[in-house]
Amino acid sequence: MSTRDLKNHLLFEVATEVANRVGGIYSVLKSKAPITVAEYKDRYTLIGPLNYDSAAVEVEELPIKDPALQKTLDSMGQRGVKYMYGRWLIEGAPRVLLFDIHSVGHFLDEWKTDLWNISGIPAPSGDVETNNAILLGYITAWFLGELSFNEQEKAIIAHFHEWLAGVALPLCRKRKIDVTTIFTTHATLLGRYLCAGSVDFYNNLANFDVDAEAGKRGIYHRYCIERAAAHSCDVFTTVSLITAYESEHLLKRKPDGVLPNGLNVIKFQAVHEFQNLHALKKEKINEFIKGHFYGHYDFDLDNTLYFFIAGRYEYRNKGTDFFIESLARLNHRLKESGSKTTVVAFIIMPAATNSYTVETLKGQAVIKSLENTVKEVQNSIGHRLLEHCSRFHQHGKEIPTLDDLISPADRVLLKRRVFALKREGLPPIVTHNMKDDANDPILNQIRRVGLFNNPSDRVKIIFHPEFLNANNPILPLDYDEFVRGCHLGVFPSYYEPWGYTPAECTVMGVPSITTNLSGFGGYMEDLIENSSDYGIYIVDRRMKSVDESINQLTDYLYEFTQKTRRQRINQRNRTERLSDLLDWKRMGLEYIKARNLSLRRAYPAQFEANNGELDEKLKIKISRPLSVPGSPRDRNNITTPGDLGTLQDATYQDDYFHLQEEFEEDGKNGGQYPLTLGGNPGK
Amino acid sequence: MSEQKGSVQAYITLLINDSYLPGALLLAKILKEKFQTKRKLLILTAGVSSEAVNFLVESYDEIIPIDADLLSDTNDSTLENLKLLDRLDLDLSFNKLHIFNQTQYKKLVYLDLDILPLKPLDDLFEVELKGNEIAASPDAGWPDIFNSGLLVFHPSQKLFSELSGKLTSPETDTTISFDGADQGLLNQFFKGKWVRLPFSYNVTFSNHYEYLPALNFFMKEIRSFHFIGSSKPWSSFEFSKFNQLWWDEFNSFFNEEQKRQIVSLSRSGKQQGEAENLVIPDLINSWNRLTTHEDLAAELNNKLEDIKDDSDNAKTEIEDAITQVFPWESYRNEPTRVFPKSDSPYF
Repeated sequence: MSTRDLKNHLLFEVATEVANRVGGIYSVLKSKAPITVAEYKDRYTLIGPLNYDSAAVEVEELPIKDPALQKTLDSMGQRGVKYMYGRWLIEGAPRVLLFDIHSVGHFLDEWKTDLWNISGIPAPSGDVETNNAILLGYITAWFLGELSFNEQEKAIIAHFHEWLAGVALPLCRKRKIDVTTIFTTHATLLGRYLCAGSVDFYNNLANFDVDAEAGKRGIYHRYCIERAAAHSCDVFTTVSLITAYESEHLLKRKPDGVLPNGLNVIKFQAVHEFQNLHALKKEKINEFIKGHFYGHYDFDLDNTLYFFIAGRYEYRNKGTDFFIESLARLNHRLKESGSKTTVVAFIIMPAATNSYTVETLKGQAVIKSLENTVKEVQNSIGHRLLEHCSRFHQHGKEIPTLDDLISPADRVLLKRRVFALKREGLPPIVTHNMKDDANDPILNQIRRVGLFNNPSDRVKIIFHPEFLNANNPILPLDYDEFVRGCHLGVFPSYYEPWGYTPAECTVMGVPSITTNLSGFGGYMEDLIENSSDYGIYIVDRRMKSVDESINQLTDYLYEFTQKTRRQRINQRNRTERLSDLLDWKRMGLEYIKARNLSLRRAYPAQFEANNGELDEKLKIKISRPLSVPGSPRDRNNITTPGDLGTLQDATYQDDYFHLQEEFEEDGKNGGQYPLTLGGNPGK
Repeated sequence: MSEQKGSVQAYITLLINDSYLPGALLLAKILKEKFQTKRKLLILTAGVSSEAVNFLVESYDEIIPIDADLLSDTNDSTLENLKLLDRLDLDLSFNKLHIFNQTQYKKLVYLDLDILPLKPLDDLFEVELKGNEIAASPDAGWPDIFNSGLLVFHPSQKLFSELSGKLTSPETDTTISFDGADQGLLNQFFKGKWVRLPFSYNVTFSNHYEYLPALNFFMKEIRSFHFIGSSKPWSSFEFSKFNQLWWDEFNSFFNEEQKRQIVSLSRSGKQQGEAENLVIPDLINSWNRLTTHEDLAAELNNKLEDIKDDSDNAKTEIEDAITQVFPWESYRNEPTRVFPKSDSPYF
């Protein structure tokens, strides 16, 4: 039997969000690209469906250099397959191969029949998402089969993300395509649906009749694809321990391991730089607050804290109910203790709206015109002051009175602007006109707890039902700028397989609250002791009842409001230090090991000859002694032995692969958006 | 005249443990302060904390502890029926029978604590009852029975002993109570002796099925609203219009501090964690588990056995079933990798 070169294997990553943003997978691929390219160079290619609109913006077409790839795509092209090959214009610039799945639409019925025959997966007509998944799956299997014929030197690894890309997996296995496979699920289909339906999910996780539950929700065929993908891959992985447990029970295969999601961490030259950014962005939020609360601006912005929750509008899964309830309790406690601190809580969750309310726009407008008037008056005062003082010899008065400085015309103008600040009602709790105001769960919860931005309330609330954008007329900030300007992110989720939002806060040095039901919370809890010292507060939503959890959340919020400015600055410094833990440079190691495992399972003979090791470097890596635990302390070493070095002075010089980042751009964040991998059933 | 009525007629209710305390206090406030009833308010209690009693004495004219004579069903089949309903909390609901034993009163109106009166209910005392008849509103939908949340009746020693005798009777089938709770028992017992009150006295709506147009149209006629189901306005964090009706009243009678105390008393009993059954087992990534040569050899040996099986018999079987859909299937090479034997039923 002939064999392939395992060391210089080719890597294909298959997902529907390659160069096409829909949700969270896009960010996983995009932020991971630099380290994967650094490792593989041109042996790494991403495969996805071709979306002409987004590809036109995100992909630069390239000529194909590799002869095997050329031959493969020529052969497919002759049979009518349309594709685009090029460079994805992101950091790392990975190669992408995008297939136009509609160019093979006429095969759909044949392929559906085949899928049923070989794996018993049904495919009802009319489910566009499933149809597209089948087209992508078959075209990928076609490609991999053809390529493995044309390229017989190197081994091939194909890594699939989510069920939407998973149809190819049973095909690879059944047709014995000569590639090794990895499947990563970032949440389970059934888990999303069950949680969204207010089921007591975690207490019953081990007992669901999965087929019946999938059937009841009309997703049986999709579920079958996901389950088949999980069972037919060489290595099955997921993103967190809690999702691994969920997968074991809902997909009936225990994952081989966990591949947590990392971030592309931007390192500043000096530590204080991110603190300065906080002050800068906070000033922008202050501007908005002055306008929004015009006429009721009676609190001290230097003693005001900005809290926020952000993500997809999933009222219960994201813990919005907990957030609002705990704000009400916090308000009560702050009032009772006679606190002077004000908390402004933002809820950033997109919902159906009819643009901004007049009140919101007016607020920004009146404050703007006041500002302009003040500037004019300021100018003329300066002018008169200079005049007055330089003519001292004429009138003998060194210092002018206020009346000498402010003319009657200025007074009238100022008064008019100040009168414009009077308002009838309270500052609105929502910035937009909601399509369904009366039934909106967030608004109704705010109404129930009675947080209406009364002057006596120490907690004010602003619901911004649209994602943030720098071109936004009233709160002109990108999401990451907004996060930097805030003091605390609050994400008390019930269902959150990974949890990018608190992770993003952490790398920007902003403390956050998460729960032990979120993948991120569980990960950090396992990794570090006293996580709250590092600005990672973890609410217990497992053993505590709803009421107790909300009290704990309230305690955390209250405790945070009691911190001095200096304590908050120190805490932010500690939080920022954790960012190395979440960097792809560290997280990516798990991906490398998972790929290695897929090769070991497919080519045992070659590993056996080498005493179980293929690569000398990998061997060194695995047997490397544990680093001295720095601060924060490594709680247990099972996750990745040797990975967690000291944090502050972590250099990767000694690591077994050192990154040559050709495409590193300074200070340019990839624009991570509140990405949530959580479900959006019904779509 | 009214003085005399006041002594022979009364409202009565039942509080078993603190969890319904907010309902009990609001019900009393509404009847006494909002609707100015002259009738006495009685409450039967069992398993109630002393803090809760402190609140109750302010609102009720008489508190009658029944801890000593708790009625529980000895019958297994009723428990089974409650399991069917998924409402084991109703196990103690038979203690409602004690209301029939309050023979110091001529006529009683019984109200569940999850009932919110929207209009005065004193006219219920005018309902004419012959002998052992009972007056009640029908339950929503099928079957044609009354809802036991609002009852008008004449207490009597005889009634009480007959009813409580049922619980210990040797009958083991569902003839005692078809649903395993008081509603089934009372309906079966008072069959043919039920005076039907209008539905509007005891409006039962499920939160899942809201017949909104009718509700909007007939809202003015509703006398009382009954929050059936296991989630009560005071225990729920979910918003609904109906829950808001309850909260508006509650907010109007109690200040922040009282509200906090009352609600927390009602919640102190149940401490179920949201995911307390969740135990996530340690998962050591396969790629870390298989680091020593021994581990690796063990997995490799298992694999190789699989492969032998695979090459012996499974191969032809699978390949027979597969028809060609890809061009390369006609000219492909033998794979260089090995495939484990597939025994998965899922693909």
